[in-house]
Amino acid sequence: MNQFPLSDPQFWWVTLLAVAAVVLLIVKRVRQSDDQDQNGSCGGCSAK
Amino acid sequence: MAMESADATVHISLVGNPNVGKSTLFNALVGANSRISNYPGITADSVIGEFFGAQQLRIVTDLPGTYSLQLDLPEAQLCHQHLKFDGPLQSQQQNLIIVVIEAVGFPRNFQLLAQLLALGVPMAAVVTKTAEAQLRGYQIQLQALEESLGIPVFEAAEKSAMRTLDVEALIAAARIPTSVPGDPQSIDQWSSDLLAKTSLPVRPEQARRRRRRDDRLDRVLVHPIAGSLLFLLAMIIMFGSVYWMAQVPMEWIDVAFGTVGEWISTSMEDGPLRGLLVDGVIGGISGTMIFLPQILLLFFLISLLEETGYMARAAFVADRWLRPFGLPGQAFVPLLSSHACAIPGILCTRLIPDRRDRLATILVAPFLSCSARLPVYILMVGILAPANPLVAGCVFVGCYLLGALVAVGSAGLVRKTLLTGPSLPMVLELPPYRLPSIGDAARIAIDRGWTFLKNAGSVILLICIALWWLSTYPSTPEGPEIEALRVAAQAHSDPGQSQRLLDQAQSLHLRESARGSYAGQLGRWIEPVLAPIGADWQLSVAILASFAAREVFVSSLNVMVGVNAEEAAASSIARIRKSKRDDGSPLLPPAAAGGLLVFYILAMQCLPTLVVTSREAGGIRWALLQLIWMTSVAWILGVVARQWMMAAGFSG
Ligand SMILES: Nc1nc2c(ncn2[C@@H]2O[C@H](COP(=O)(O)OP(=O)(O)OP(=O)(O)O)[C@@H](O)[C@H]2O)c(=O)[nH]1
Ligand SMILES: [Mg+2]
Repeated sequence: MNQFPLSDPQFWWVTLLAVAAVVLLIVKRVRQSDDQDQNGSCGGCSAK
Repeated sequence: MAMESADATVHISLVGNPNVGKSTLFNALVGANSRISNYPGITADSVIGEFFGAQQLRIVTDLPGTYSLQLDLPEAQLCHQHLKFDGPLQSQQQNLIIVVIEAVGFPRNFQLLAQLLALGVPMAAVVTKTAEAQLRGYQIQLQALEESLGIPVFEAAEKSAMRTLDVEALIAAARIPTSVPGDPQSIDQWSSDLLAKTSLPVRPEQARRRRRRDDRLDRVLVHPIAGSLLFLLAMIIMFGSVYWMAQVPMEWIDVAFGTVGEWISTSMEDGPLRGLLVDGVIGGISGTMIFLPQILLLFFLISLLEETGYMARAAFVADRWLRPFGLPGQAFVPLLSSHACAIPGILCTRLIPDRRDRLATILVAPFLSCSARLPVYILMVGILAPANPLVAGCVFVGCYLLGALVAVGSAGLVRKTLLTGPSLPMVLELPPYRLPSIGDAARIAIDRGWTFLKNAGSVILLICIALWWLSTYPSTPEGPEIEALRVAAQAHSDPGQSQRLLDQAQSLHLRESARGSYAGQLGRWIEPVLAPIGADWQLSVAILASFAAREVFVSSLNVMVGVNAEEAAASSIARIRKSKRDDGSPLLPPAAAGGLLVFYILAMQCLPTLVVTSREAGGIRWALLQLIWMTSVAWILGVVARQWMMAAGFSG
């Protein structure tokens, strides 16, 4: 078995999803730190 | 206001004494969910919202409550500044003040009222809690009030009446006050005239009985000893019932996710996509979702307790205990709020007038157990006291206690070293007792639960997907040992034995893959630092991941043990409990669970909180101090706890 199963199309799909997840995560974090100010709603945790 | 203007925006400011219901009105107007509580000083900063009506945009500002615009207190200055209406909004705007007046404690509203009338801005008044005032023995004559003040007066007898208040009529009727009380000397005269004209006594006997009852309750609840014991008892009951009552629904959710995972495993072919779906997505979400019942219960109980008016009494009791550690009584509510989340807790410190008091409170607020730590507590407590629910409940309550004790101790230390100086005395008005509304508390709980779910569905899901990839790739080719096992399995004549060997080969392969993956490499790199508190490389990765969001710990652990678990989808907590380290010993033996639990109670693992600290405290150095102090205390006490448990005979 290869380290990265490059010939398996499923591998490309999961990699794409993982990259998308990271990008979304960064975007979300950046936006959150912008609009945290007003009502004290908080980014990382589950409460406001 | 029928004025036609190019810029048809109306700016509405909600002003009034503390705890009169401004935020309740604000929420009713703009459909927001600002925090409301039967405690003065809940809104600490102006909150802005907007709504449309009569083809105009209305921008509403909910201000913190204040008794006067001229006090040397942060809330008064904030209101004063806002009502001068300077700043960029000034041009072409239509300003309007809605003064919220509380019928309970009516004359206390007069000083602020007089100052507002003198501003010469269009105004309208809303009188709240009139039904409650009647129970207390007086009735407000709204007609007379309207005539005396020269501005329209609306009534909100009950909290629910806020939602049916005719806002359009109120905005249309607002006008510049005509009767302005003159200089400060004549304000006293004006006040007593106003009171005589507008307040009528009703049913005095009933009111007296009620007052006597309240006084008696107060005497017990703020009593130095009885009050403290009652407070402790209230907290134990509250956190204890969060633990016990949530067990059953938690199990349901766990089973439901397990079933879905199993169904996907059997109906999909083996491959990366199935792995991502079962271990990454389902494993990740279920690791967070099963804590929904606890979150709901916690917020439900907190808001019930807050609405009764008990918290202000508790603040008085706490003041006595906090003062020796250099924390003011005003720190009580910020610290209590931090049990939901440290960020609103820290924002709430804006009303602490003394800078040193405030800084000390900000620094220690994140020690208190926020709801994001709850999942870790439940997991670890279940391991520490698997058979005895009573002990488990006590350990759970103990987690909260430990956080509070270390917070208070740290505050004492900070006040003796970095921030020396006396604290100001606390002045706090005791709000009336009130039967809390179950519906309101449920609404708040559901709102918070929804936020929690949204978070689980977004941030946590994303982290889990990324983590799944990192703990799956690069995959390790099968080594000779595994090869040998497989060959041996084929050679075996007994099919049962042969299957066992194959399973062994498979689990060995999974484990080696996970160890060799990026996450495994990272975990093994950081493991030496975290091993003293009981973490192996898998736990180390979960701890690292939870610096992004604390509640991701159980989820990410679930993803990782899922990737190298033999069985596909057992229920998530059971799966974590059954997982093993590389040497085949349990992943979480009791002493390690204890060490990690202590670490989690105390460690600073919340980036958003650090951002807020550095902003509120006025400098990144305070955030750094917080990070370093909390994390080192957590690590040291975690090591101590684990060593101590190992010395007591637990396996570690
Ligand atoms: N009986 C009754 N209670 C009300 C009414 N309006 C608000 N309350 C209650 O009064 C308390 C204070 O409400 P808030 O809206 O938080 O008051 P606030 O003026 O924003 O208070 P601060 O932000 O602390 O200045 C809460 O317990 C509300 O449930 C009302 O019309 N009648
Ligand atoms: Mg408010």
